[in-house]
Amino acid sequence: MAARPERMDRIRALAAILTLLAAAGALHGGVLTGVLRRVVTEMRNDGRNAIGLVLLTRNYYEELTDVDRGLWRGGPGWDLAVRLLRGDADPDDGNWVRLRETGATRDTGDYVAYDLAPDVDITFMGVRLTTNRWGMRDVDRTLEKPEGTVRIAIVGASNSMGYGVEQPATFAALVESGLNRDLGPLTGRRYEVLNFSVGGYRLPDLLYVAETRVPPFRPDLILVELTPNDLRWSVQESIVGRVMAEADVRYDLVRSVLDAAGVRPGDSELTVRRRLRPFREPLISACFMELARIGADAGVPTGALHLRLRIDEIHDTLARQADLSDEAGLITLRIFDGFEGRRPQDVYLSRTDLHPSAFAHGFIAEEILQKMYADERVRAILGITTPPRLPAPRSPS
Amino acid sequence: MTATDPNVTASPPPADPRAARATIRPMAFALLAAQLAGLLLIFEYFNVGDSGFRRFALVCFAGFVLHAILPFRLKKQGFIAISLLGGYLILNDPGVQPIRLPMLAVTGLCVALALAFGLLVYYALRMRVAFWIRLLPILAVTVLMMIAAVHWWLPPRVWQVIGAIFMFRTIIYAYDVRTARAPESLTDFLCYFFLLPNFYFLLFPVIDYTTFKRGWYATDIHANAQRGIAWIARGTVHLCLYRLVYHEVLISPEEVDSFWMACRYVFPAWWLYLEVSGKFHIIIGCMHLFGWQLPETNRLYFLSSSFTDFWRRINIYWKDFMVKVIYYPTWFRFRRRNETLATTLAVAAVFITTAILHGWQLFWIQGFFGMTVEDVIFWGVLAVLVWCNVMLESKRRPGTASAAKPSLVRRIGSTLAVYVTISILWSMWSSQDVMGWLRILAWWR
Repeated sequence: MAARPERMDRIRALAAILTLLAAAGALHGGVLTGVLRRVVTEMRNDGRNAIGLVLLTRNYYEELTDVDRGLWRGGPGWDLAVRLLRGDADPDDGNWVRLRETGATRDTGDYVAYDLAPDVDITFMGVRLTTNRWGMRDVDRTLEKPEGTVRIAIVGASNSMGYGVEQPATFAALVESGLNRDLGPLTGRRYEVLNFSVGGYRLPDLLYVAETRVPPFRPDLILVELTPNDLRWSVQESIVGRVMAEADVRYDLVRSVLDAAGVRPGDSELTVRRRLRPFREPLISACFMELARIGADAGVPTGALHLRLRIDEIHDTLARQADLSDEAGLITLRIFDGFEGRRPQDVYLSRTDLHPSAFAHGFIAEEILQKMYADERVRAILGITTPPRLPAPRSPS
Repeated sequence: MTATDPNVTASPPPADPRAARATIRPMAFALLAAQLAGLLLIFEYFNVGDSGFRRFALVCFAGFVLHAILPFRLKKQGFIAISLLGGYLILNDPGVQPIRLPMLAVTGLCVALALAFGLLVYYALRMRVAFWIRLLPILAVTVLMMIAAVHWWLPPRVWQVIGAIFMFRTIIYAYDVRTARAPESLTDFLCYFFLLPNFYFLLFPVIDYTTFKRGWYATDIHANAQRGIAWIARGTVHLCLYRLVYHEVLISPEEVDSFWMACRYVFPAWWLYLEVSGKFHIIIGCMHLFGWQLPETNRLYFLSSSFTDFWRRINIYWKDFMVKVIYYPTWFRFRRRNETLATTLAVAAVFITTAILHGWQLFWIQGFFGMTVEDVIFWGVLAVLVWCNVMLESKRRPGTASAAKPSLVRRIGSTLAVYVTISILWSMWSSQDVMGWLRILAWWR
C-alpha cells in the first residue's frame, strides 16, 4: 500500500474522529443550539423510538442487531436462561420477569385489569418488593387519616412505583420524609405520601385509580405521574387497545375525542391509529380535564407531576404536556432539571433498563419538594404561606 | 565444489517480507494509538453500542498494542490467545450486576464448546476419506446443537456465539479444503474462526478463507492499521447517522396521510441498513489492527446504478461468498448446455441460497428459522431484477453503442430508479405483512 493511500486514510480517520469529538465537546459545553443541538443529541440517543416501542414494523436486520445490543428475544424459558446467565439462578426471585408474571399482582376484572396484591413480599428486579394490606408499594397506612395529618396521594406507573429501587429510596417515600423534615417543625403537622403506583399503568388507568381507589383515604392532594411518553404514544396506545378490544373507554371527554376523530366500531387498528394521531393533544387534554373533574367531585385538588426521566430528553413534548395540564386547571409541577448533565450509569438502573436509579430518585424527590414549596396552591394544602427557608442544597451532586 | 564443501556457506533462508511489514515505528504507532483513544472517547460519549461493546473495544484496542509488540513468529498464536481470552471477557459483561460464578462458568463453557466444535470441524475435514464422509460428523454435531438450542439446554447466548462463528465460515472453509492441495494449518484455522470481534458481533461479514490467509501482513502494519482505523471511524459515523434516521426520519404507519408522507414512509426504510454497514466497517477495521488486510464490506450502496451494482455493493462479502460457493459452480456446470440457462440457474441458486441462509442465520441468532411471505417476495423480486441486469450486461458486446459508458443523465436516472425500487421492496420486506403494508400506503381509504 503506497504512502498516499495511508495519508488519505489518516486524513479521513482524523476528520471523522475530530469532528465527532468537537461535536461532543460543543454539546457538553452548551455551545450547540437549535437544529445542531438536536442532531448531536439524537446521535447520542440509543433508546427505542416510539415506532420500535409500539412494534408495528419489523426489520430483519433490526431484529438481529437487537441481539448485539443485549435485547434478547427468545422462546419459552428465556427468562430462566437469562437468570442463569446472570447468576440469579433462583427461579422465584423474579429478575427480568414482568411484574404481571410475578405473584405481586392480581386480576381485578375492572377497568385496570390488574393491581398489586396485598401483603406481598418478593424479590423483583433485584430488590425487595413488599406491599401493604391495601396493595400499595408503601409502608402500612390507616384508611382513616390521622388527626393533624396532610395526605398526598401519588398515582403513577413503574417509575413512581420504584422499579429496581428499595421502597424507602423511592421518590414518594423521600418526598414524605422531606416534608416531615422541612415542614413538620414549622406546622406541627404530620405529612404522608401514599403511593398508589402500579407498574404498567397508563394515564387512563391512573384516572381510574384516582377516581376509585384513592378517595377512601381522604387525601388532601392527588398527584398523577406523567412522562413525555404519555403525549408521544402511551395515552393513544391505551385508548387504541381499548377500542380494539371493544372495551369501555369510560370517560365522556375521551369518548368525545374519539367521536371527533371519526373512530368507529369495526375500524382496523391502522385506521384507529391514523384517525387518532392528530388528536393526541385533545386526547391528553381530555384526560387532564377528567382528572380535574375527579378531583372536583371528590373535593380534592389534583395535580400532575411532569417528570423528565432522560438525560438527553428533548423538551418540546415535556413542555407542551405541562402547558396542557395548566390549561386544564391542574396543579402542574415541572420536574425538568434533575437529569441535566448527568451520567447514564448514575441515573439509570442499567444499560437496557432506563428506569431511574436510587440516586435519581433522590434528586427527583428534592426537585418535587422545591416545586411544591414554590407553588402557591400546594403551599396552602401543606399549611404554609411562604416557601420554607432551607439549609444549603441537599440534593446529590 | 559441492554443497557439503566447507568452503561453501549455505545461503540463509529468504527473510519473510511480512516480518518486515510487521515492524513497529514508534511515532507512527503512537499516532495510531492516539486515534484509537479518540475513538474510545467517542464510543463513550455517543453511547455507541452497550457496555459489552465498550468492553470489546477496550479489549480489541489493548490487544492491538499487545499484538504489535509480539515477535512476528508468535503473532498468529497471540491473536488466537487474545481472541479466546478477550472473547471470554466480552461474554462476561456484567453490566451493573456483579460477576457471579455461574455466569463465569457458562461463558467458559461457551468458549470451550466453540473450541471443541472448531476442532471437530478441523480434524473431520482433514480425514483421508471421501469429502462427503468428512462432512458427516460435522453435520451430526450441528443437528445435535440445533436440538440443544431449540430445547434451551444451555442459555441462548452460547448457541448465538457458536452459530455466529461457524454458521457461514464452515461452509467457505469446507469449500476451500475440498480443493486445497495441502492440509490447512491448525493455526490458520483457529485464527480464521476465532475472530475477536465475533464474540460481540453476532451479525458478521462472511470473510473468505483464502482472502483471509492472503491478507495476513500483506502490507505495512501502519498503513493497514490506519485503514482499519479509518473504517472504524467511518462505521461509527454510520452508526450515528443510523440513530438520526431511527429517531428523526422514520415515521409510524398511522402518520401516512398523504402522498408525501407515504414517500417518507417508504423511501428511508432501508437507511436503517446503516447500522449493519456501520458495524461491518468496525468489525473489519478491527481485523486490520491485527495485520489482516481485508476488503471493504459495503460501498456507497445508496448510489447503485443497477440491480447488479446494488447486489455487489450492499454486502460485498456476501456477494463474494455466493459467487464462489454457488454462482460459479452452478454456472460452470450448465454453461456447456446453454449460457443463458446457466446464468438463469446460477442467479436462481444464489438467491434461493441467500433466502435460506438468512433464515439459517435467524435460527442461530434468534432461535427460530424464519421464512415469511415477505421474505420470499423480497428475494424473488430482487432475483428477477438482478437476472434482468445480468442478461442485459451479458448482451453488451465491447465496442458497440450499448457497451459505451452511459451519460451522466442516464446514470443519475438509473441510480434513482434503482433507489426507488429497492426502497419499495425494502419497505414491503420490513412490514408485518404485505396486505398491511398496502393498507398503510392507501392513505386515502
